[in-house]
Amino acid sequence: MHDLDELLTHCIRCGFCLEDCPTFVETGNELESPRGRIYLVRSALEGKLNWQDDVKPHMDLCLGCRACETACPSAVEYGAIFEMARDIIEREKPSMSKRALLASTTNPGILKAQLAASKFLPGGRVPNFVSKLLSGSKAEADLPTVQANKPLPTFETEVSVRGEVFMLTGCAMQVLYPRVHECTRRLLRRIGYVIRDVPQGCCGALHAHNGDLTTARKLGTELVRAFTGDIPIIVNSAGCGSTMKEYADLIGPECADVAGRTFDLSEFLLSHGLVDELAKAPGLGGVTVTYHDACHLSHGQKVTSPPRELIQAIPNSTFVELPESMMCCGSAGVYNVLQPEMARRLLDRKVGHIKETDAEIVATGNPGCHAWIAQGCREQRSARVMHTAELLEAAFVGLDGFVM
Amino acid sequence: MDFSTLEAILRPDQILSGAAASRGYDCDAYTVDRSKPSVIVLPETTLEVAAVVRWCAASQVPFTSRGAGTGLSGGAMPALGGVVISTKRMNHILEIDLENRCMLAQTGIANRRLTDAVKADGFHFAPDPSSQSVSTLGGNIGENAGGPHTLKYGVTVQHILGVTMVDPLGEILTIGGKLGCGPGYDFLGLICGSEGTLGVVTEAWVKLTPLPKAVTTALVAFPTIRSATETVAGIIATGTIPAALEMMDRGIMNAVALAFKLTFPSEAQALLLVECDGDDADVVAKEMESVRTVCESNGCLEIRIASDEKERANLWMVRKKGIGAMGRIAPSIVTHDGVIPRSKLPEMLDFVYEVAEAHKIGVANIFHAGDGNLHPCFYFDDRDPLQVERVIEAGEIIIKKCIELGGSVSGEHGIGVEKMDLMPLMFSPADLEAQAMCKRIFNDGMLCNPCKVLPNQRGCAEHKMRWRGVAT
Amino acid sequence: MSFEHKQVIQFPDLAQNYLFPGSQTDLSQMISNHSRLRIGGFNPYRYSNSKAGANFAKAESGKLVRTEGPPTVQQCDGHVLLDKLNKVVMFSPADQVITVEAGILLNDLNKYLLDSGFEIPIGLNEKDQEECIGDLMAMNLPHWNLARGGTWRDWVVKMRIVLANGEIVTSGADVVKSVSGFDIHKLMIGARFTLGVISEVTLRIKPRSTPKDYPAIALNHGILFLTNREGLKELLEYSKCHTEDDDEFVKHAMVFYIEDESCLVLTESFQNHFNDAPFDSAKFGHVWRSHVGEFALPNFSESDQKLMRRTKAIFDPTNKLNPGEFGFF
Repeated sequence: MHDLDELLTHCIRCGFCLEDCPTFVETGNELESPRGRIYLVRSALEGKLNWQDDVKPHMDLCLGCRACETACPSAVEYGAIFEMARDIIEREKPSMSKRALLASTTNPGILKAQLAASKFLPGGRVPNFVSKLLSGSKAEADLPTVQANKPLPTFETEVSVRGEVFMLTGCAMQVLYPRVHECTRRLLRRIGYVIRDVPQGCCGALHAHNGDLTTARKLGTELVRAFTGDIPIIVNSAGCGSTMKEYADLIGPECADVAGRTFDLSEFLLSHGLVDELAKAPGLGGVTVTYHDACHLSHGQKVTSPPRELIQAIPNSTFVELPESMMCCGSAGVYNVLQPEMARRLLDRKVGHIKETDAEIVATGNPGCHAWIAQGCREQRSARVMHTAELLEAAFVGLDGFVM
Repeated sequence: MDFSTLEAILRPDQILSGAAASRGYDCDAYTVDRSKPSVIVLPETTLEVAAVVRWCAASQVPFTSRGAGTGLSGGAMPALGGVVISTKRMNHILEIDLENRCMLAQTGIANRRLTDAVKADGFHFAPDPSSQSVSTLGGNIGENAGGPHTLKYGVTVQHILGVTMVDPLGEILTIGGKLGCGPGYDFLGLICGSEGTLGVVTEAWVKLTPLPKAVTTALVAFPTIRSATETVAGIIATGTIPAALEMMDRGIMNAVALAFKLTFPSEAQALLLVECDGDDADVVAKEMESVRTVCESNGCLEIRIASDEKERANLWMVRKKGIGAMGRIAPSIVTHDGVIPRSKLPEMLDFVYEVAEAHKIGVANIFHAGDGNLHPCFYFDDRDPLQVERVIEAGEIIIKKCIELGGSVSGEHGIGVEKMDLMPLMFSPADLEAQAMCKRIFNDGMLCNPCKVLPNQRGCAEHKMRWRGVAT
Repeated sequence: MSFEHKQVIQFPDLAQNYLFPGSQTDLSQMISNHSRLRIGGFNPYRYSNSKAGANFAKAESGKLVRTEGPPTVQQCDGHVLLDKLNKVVMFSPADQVITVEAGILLNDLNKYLLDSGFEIPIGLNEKDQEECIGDLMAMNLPHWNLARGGTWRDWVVKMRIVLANGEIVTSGADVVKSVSGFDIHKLMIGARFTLGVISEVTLRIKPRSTPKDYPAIALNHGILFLTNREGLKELLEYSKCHTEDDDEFVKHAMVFYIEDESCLVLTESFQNHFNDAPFDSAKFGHVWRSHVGEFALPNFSESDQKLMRRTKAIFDPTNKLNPGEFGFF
């Protein structure tokens, strides 16, 4: 476990993080920058500022995207500072509504029930009175809808089985994007791996990011217990993977081995020969594809190259880089519900860049980004959004089985 | 003071105040002295800046302009409080004229974004301070920023054609322009490097420089500091002007090795990063060949030459992230900035190591060897007041030595508040009075970025203790 | 070391009491002891003017210079010429800097540097090379090598200046890069000695390089730098001016001369209409802008005049140095 005071001293105030921070770039306000927030936290710890009045608004507006960690030459662990500061603020004065939101989003049963009910809500959006309660402003995020799917063609492969892996089924992903799990299962099988199914719960990532470290630790400990054994853990949701790789810091040394065997799906597919399989696939019929880096994949896990290498290996497709691909889209877990205004600004910025590329498909590796960018693209009639796993599977079976 | 009347000039979201805001803007990247502003404004146009400045002038409220706040000498610290004018919402490119190789931009834009906008067309904005990914055009103009490539391409002033600025009374002035300056007094030369004391520069025409068609970069390891410094002299003497000629010592190597898992020859005591560029690949290759000959004749241990963009970036990482990497081996670092005539490098470096040892603090050196611009980087623990004292003292001794050797108090970080008191070591009272005359052309009061650059200004001495007090 | 003193050009219309300071202290005293002084030997250019109806006259070099009738010279106590202040104070090849007194002729300095394989890449024609560097800096003449070599501002790193009150002050340092307060020396370049008298300068120097075969064209407000001869032809076509002829010159308000085989210099042209020029930069080269002075008096904008007057009032409140200069002091 970290000592917050010690973590803060590593910031030498060089400011190299500023232009990579989405909220700073949008507002130009030092207090909405990583350097500013670190300074506020430090000042509050020293008793010079008040946690609730002075620090909380700025920690609330932080996306927790950790782009600043990528930019930081001094290796300041902003993600850890952010979570610990939010934890202090929440412990001092808990937000019940936020807790309720977290609890519902991360419990598949409740989430399913809510989604069923949401069909009756006007505009498919969080009701404004609920949004006002959570964020003080009107809702921007459409309530998530369960991905509708046509069945995929029958699975065939000549590759023989060579090993077993765990797959994190997680909380939101299994309800919202069951197709992503299906594609993950098929892609792993294409390189000779089968999934060992075990009962499992939530990884605790959303709790950790939102100032509830106690619940996060509890959930994490349970999950690690479920994944006992020395086989790889495959995660197709960037936020979860990032938290799991840092369990040792969050929970303790007993989780030291988890980081070493937790892989983002793209990392595992690339290092276990999917490129060779892709070479034999029919590909995508000449579409143009771009890629949005989910923050917890690029900044949290430093995984930027594997998804690109895989996508570029898809026959009959053109890959174009997305400007500011590593800048957060504004989804950030439950951020788009809690901070709708800023989330909307960042979404518009993201969709604007997507339009610049003229790509027909945007791939990304996280359910939050997936839903949020899809909403923006739908509204502005831009590209279709697919999880990287879906796109890769489509290279084998064609795009027909995937909804527009 | 009633700041609410500012609301007649700006939207509420452009005005920040309160305990957190005052704290957040009380210093830039130089943290030894701090002072809180009452209000921070985020204007979006020159007209808004002018309106704010006129408000300040009418209300007799001090104001200090601020870009990204990456300055290392306290230039953006609001020494007498008042209003901080942040240019960070003025970050638009207004016109790109590739035909005439120039661009008009608002000054709050980050340096790197200027280049990003024209890179595809084969151009760049040449000044490249290490902070270029974040530091603003306005800040670069204020500090007349340098960078690794100044050896060949020159400092910021050489790349600015004209500016629009708001003078300390709120009047909008245009100096130079797309066509550069005509005849008459060279006010542009005066404004570049004036550290925001002459007004608020809001827009600037900058020169665009073609990207070189061929670039080769070499990282060379040497067994001794002296063999590296002699190589620097040797390369310069051949008549080759490398695009960059940078040096790093063992301390930096250790930090970088730890941070990025890079390896260097174990007996290496110094690294030189040499970059040659130009439009003719053969000429560039020939230059690099002559560099190699000089390196070998000075007994280098190893030469790594980058063959592609990725390898180049790797070699540069040692230089660009060297100082940051120091943050991993010690809780605090202070990077100094002094210049000496190039030929005095060996003598000066010996002196730096002696001083560090005598003061019982760690030191690593990373610097623009081609320019004689030294950046000794002291590492220590700022939670120990005795160490802080020793670091400050060692820094002053080193700057004094620079001046003694015919050098300068600062190469690119500026004077700000950090080095004000060292100015008399370099300049006589008459020299400083003449500098004050230059300042008076634009700023004859105590409102526009007060208490900076010139020592012993009336009404400032009594605030010095307060600045230190806020910092501790 | 020092150089043989050369007779300065005499200006018949400016019969004066010529003063030749032999040292910087001398210069300081002369300035202290007089109330009105003309400074510098660049008169052939100084009274030229780009206003409509200007006259043109041939300077001694035979090249055309535009002038505005008889100059309105204010009576002065004397005319200070820097020619005897021509010592090399310090030369450090290792650091690539040289410190010289301001009266040294550019030609002599270049010859001196040539022996050690160095140069100052200020490309002036033969006649201008015979001016002292103090005068050249005070005028900040544009030159054919601007595109590559930059202006004097890019090469001066330190300067000693005698102010109107006789005080000798220093600005800058003997190093190639320095941010040390307000750069008085930059303000002195192009100021025509109206704010102070440049008495000594430290210059960056560079190893001598063989000139490349690029034609360059100097304009009022910048330099058109052409990378091939096609561009040069295009320019001549555009300007409808093919010969170095007085009539042509007057007609088209421009003057140019061939510097050498590869280079043509325009000293007057296209004022402010430059962007209409139909040059294809990809084909013919590119436009390079830089801070340049010009031979002719400009029409300063109101705000420029205001700033200049304010500056003059601070540095030379009694209007002692070069009274009447710039047409409005």
